[in-house]
Amino acid sequence: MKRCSSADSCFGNYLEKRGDINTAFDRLEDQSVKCGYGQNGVCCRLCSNGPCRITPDSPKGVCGATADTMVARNFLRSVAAGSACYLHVAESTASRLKSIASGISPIPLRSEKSVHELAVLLGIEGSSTNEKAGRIADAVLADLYRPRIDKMELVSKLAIPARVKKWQELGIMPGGAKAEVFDAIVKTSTNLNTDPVDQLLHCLNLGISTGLYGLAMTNLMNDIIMGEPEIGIASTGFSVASPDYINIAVSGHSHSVFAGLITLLESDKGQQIGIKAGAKGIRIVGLTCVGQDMQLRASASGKNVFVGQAGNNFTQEALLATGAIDMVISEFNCTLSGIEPIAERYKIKLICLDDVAKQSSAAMLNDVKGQELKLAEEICVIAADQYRLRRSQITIDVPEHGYDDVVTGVSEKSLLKLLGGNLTPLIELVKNGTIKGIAGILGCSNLAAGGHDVNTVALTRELICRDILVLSAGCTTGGLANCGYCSLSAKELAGPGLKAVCEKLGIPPVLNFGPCLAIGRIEIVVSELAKALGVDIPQLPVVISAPQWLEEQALADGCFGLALGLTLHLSQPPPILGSAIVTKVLTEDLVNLTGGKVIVEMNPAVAADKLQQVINEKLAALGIGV
Amino acid sequence: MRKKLIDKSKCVGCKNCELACIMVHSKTPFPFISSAAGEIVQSRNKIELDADGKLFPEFCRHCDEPSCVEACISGALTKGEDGLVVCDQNICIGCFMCVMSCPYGMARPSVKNDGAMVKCDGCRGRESMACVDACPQRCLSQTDTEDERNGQVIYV
Amino acid sequence: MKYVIIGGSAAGIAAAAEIRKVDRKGELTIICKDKFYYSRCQLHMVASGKTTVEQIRLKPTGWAEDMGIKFMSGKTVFGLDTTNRTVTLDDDQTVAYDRLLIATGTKTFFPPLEGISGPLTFGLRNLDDALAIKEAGRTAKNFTIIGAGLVGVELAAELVKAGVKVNLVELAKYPLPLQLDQVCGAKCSKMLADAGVKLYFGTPAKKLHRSPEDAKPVALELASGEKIATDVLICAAGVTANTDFARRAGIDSRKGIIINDQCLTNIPDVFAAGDVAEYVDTVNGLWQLTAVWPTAVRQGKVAGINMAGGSASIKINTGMKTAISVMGTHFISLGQISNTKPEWSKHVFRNTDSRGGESIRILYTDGNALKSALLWGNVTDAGLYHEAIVTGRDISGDYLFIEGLDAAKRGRETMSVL
Repeated sequence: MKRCSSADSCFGNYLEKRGDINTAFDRLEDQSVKCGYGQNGVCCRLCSNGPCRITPDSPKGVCGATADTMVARNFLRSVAAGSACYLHVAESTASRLKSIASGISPIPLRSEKSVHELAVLLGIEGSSTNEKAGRIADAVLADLYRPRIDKMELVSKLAIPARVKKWQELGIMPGGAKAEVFDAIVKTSTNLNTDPVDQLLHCLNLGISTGLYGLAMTNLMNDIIMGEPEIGIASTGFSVASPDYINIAVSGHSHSVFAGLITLLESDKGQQIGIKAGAKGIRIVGLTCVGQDMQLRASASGKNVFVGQAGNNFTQEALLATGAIDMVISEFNCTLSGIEPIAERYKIKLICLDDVAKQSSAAMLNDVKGQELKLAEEICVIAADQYRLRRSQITIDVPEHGYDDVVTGVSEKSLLKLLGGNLTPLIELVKNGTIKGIAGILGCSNLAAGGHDVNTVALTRELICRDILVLSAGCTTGGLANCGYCSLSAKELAGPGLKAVCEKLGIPPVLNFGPCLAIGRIEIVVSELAKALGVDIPQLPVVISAPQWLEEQALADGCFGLALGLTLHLSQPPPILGSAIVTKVLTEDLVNLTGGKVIVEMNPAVAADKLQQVINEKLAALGIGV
Repeated sequence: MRKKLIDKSKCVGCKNCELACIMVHSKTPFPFISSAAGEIVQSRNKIELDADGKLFPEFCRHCDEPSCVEACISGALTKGEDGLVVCDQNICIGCFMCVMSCPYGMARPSVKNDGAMVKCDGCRGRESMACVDACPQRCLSQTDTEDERNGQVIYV
Repeated sequence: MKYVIIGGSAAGIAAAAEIRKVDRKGELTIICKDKFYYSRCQLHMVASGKTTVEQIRLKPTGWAEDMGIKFMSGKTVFGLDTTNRTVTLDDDQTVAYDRLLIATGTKTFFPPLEGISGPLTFGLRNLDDALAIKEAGRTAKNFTIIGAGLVGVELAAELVKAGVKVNLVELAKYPLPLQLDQVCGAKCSKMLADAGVKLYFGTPAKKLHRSPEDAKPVALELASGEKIATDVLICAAGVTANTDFARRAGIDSRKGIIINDQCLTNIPDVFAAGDVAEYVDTVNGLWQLTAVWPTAVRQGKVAGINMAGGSASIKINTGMKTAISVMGTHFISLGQISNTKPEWSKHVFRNTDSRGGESIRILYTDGNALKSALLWGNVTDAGLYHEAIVTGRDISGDYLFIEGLDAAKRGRETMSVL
C-alpha cells in the first residue's frame, strides 16, 4: 500500500495528513503494473479481428500489420489528438479576438501595442487597432480552416527562413491545420497507411502547426486580449486560497474564455456579488495552465482578482479537498475526473464552458459571443449562492503551502526588455562560458516518472548546477515554483556562473514562462537566438526536455521541438519501443533530417550529463570554447 | 499431478492471466459489465513488481505445508489428494486468519465487504488451467507428472 | 505403540493426523471433554444463533473410526501417573500410554468478584457455554460482558446484531487494548457504540448483584459505583491453562506446561501442545502462552511427528497475531502493538481507495526490522507483514514496507539523493 511521493514535500505532507481522500497519488499503485504491449505500442484495437498484439508467437496482426506499422499508426494518432487539442485553443482564442475586434464582445483589448506588433510580424495592415486585430484573427482562422492542399500562409511569418526552407525540402510544410489532423485520423485507420516513415513525417507536420499556431500564435493573441506578460513577483501555492473570499478555481488553457469574468470581477459590481453573500469578495485561483497564463499577465489584467497559481494539475484534488474552493470552471484540460467525488463531498460547483471539457457532474453554461459579461454575472451569482450554501456544511483546512516570491511574467518580449533590448548580453554570457548552455524544461507533470515532479525538479537542479540556464513552461513550472526554484533564493542552488548571472540580473536560475502554451514563446526565443547568431536552430547550444510529459499534447509539442531541430529529452519513452524503425528514426536518423533527436533517460543525473554533452558538441561546432 | 511452471523473465505484464482467472470464476459471461451491476470478481493471481521494479507474476504455490490451511478455523481450506489447496466458499466465514498467514500474500480478502477469502483453486475440475491457456508469452506452462516432490507451482 | 492424546481440539487433532500419516498400526486414543471436534473460534456465532452447531463441526461423524482412532469424548482426565504411564479419567477408567500428549487447552478465568458464583454466569470456551448463552438469550434482555479482548468484542458484536442489549466492560481505555493503538481503538469503540453496544471503559467490575429469590444476576456494579442492569454475565477477561493434573504429576508448569522446541515436557515421552503449552514467543522473546489457533495446530503437528518417531521442531511460534472483523470492518494486528518500545519508529499510513474505503496501516520498525503491524480496513498482504515480523528479516529496500512509510519523507530523500 503506497502513495506516490511529490518533490513538493509540503504538498506531500498535506496528502499524508489527508488520508481521507482518494487522489491520483493513491490510485497510481494499483495501476503500477503496465501491459507491455501497450507500453511498447504494439497493441492495435482498430478492427474487429483484433485486438491484436505483436508477441513471439504472432509477429503480425491479422491484417498483416507489423510492429512498425502498429507503433507508427498509434503514434501518429496520438500526435494528431494532441495537435487537435492545441489547435482548438488557438481557434477559440482567434474567434474571441475576432468577436472583440468587431465589437460583438463587450470586452476590451488590453494591449494595443501587441496588435500593432503582431500585425507587422504577420504583414497585416489596417486603419485602426480593431481592424488590424480583426484581420489578424481572420488570418489565423483562415489558415486553420484551409484545405490540406493549401499550405498555411502564416508559417513563413512565424518561423525563421532556415527552418521554413528545411521543412519545404522535407515536404512537411503544413496545409490547413485542422485538415492535417483530419487526414492523420484517416491515415491511421484500418488498412490505410502502413508506411511508418510517412507517418512520422506527418507527425512533424502536425508538430509545426501545433507549435506555431497552437502555442506561439495563441500567446500572441492572448497578449492582445489579456495584456502582455511583465516580469514581476507572484504568490503560488495553496495558501493563495483565502477562506475569506469566494474562490473560483479555473482549469483549462484558454485565458480568453475568462476575459469577461475577469473584466466583471475587476469592477465593483462584480465584487459586490460576493460581498453581498457575506464574503470579502470574489477571487480567481489558478489551477493548470490557464492559471499560469493569468499569472503571467497579472500586471495587465486580473489585479486583485487573480490571487495566484495554487499548484499544477496533479495538485487539484487535494486543493479541492481543502474546502476553500467554492467553484471550479473548466474550459479545457487538465481537469481530472478524480475531482468529481471530491466536488460532491465538499459541495463545490463544477461549471464547464466548452463541451470538449464537459465532466459528467459539471453544469454546462453557454459561452455565446457578445454575452460574455452576462455569462460572467451568471457565474458570479452561482458562485455566491454556492458559497452561501456550502461554507457552514464543510470544514476548511488550507495548509501553509507555496512561495510568495515567485518571479513570473517571462516572455520573449519581457526577457529582451530585461536584457536591455536584445539578446546580446545572453549570447555574450554563453560565449564567455559563464552560462554553459540553455535548456527548456517543458511540458507536463506526471506521477509515474519517479513521483510527482520528482524527475523535473531533480533534472532542473542538475542542469542549473552545471550553469545551464533553464527556461520553463507548463506544469513543470507549476511544480518548480512550488519547490522554490522560481524564487530569487534558488540562485543558491545554481553553479557559480549561473548564480552570478542571477545576482546581476535579479532573476532566479529558472525563468518562468508560465503555461505550456508558452513553450511556443520559448521557441520564439530560440528562433531569435538563431537569427542573432546567424545560424539555424539545430546549431544552437540549446536542448529541451519534457521530463514528466503526460499526454498527447506533449507528444505534439515534442514533434514541434523535433521539427525545429532540437534535442528532446524524455524520461519515459513514448509507446514506440516496439518498433525498431520508429525508434531508430526518432533517436538516430532524424538528426540528419530536421536536426532533431530524442534522448530517453530516466535518471536525471545521467540525463543532465547527456544533455550537457549535446550542448558542448554544439558549442564546439560554433567555435565557442568549452 | 498437474504442475504449473512460471518463467517470470517472460512476463510482460499484459495481465491476460488475471483476466482469464476472472472469466472462469465469474458467474456471468461478461464480468466487467456485471461488476457495474454488482458482481465483483477478483483474479486469484496477481502480477506484481518486485523490489527492483521488475515484473513478478504472483501465483498461489499450493504449498506442501500450507500456512493458510493451518490457520483456517472453519475447515474451509483443505489440501486435496490432487495436491491443490482449495477454499470451500460455503464454509468460509471470512475471518481472514489465512490472509494473515500466507507468506506470499496469495490468500486475499474478497473485495466484497463481508465476503469470504479468495485464492487460486488450481482450476480443479477444468481440463487445463485458465491462466496457462491465456498467456501469450509462454511465461506460464503446465506439465503432468508422477513426481510429487518439488512443489506444485514452480518458478523456473 | 500406545499413543494417548488428552484434548480433542486444534492441537490434539493435528497431532493425531500427523501420527496416523506415518503410523497406521499403533493404538491411538483421544480423550476429550468435547463431544466432537469443532471450531472454538466460532463459538460466538453459535451463542448468537447465527450459526448452528453442525456448521462448526470440523470433522464428520465416523472420522475417528476411519482413522483407527479411539475417540473417548465427554471425558475429563483426573490423574496422571508418569511412572506407570497411565492416565486416570473422572469415571475411574485408566488408559495406558507409551507416548502422551497433553493438549487440554485453557479455561475461562472468572474474576474474583463478590457474587460471581451462581447461575447465568458463563465464560465462552466450550460449546456448552455457547449453547447456554444462546438458551439464555431466549428470555434474558441484558447481557454484560467483562473483558473487551478478542472473545468479548466478537461476542458483543454478534449478540447486539441478534437483538439483545449488550454491555461491554473493560479495564483499558478502548477495546482490544493489546491489538489496537489509540486511534484504531477509538474507531473500534465507535463502531461498537454505533451498533448499540454500551461501553464502559477504565473502571474495574466490583460486584455482581444477584436476586435473593433465584440467585439470577440483576446488576453488575463497577468500582465507580455505577450499576449496569444485567441478566446474563459473561466473563471474557482472560483464560488459565488446564494444567491441574499435569502439575500434580510433576510436570513443570508456570502459566502453562513448559515445553521445548520439540513440544516435550520435562518428563520423557510426555508432550504438550496448544493453548495449554508455554513456550518462547518469537515476536518478543518471552515465555508465554501463545493461545491462537494456527499456533496450536503447528505445535500439535510438531508433537505428533515427534511422538511417532519423527523429528520436527517449532521454528516460528507466536500468539501475537489476530485477525478480526467487527461490524464489517476487518483488521489484523501483528506483533506488539501496545507496549511498544520507545526506540521503535512508528509509521502511520492512511488512505482512501477508489471505492471510498478508508484504510490505515500502522507499522513499528526497529532499524530495518519490522516489529509490529496493524492493518485496518484493507488487510491485503497481511501475510507478508506477518512473515517479516516473525522472521525479523531486513525490510529495507522492500517496496511493500518502504512505500507504506512516510511518502513525503521519501520524496525528500529522493531529492537529497539527487
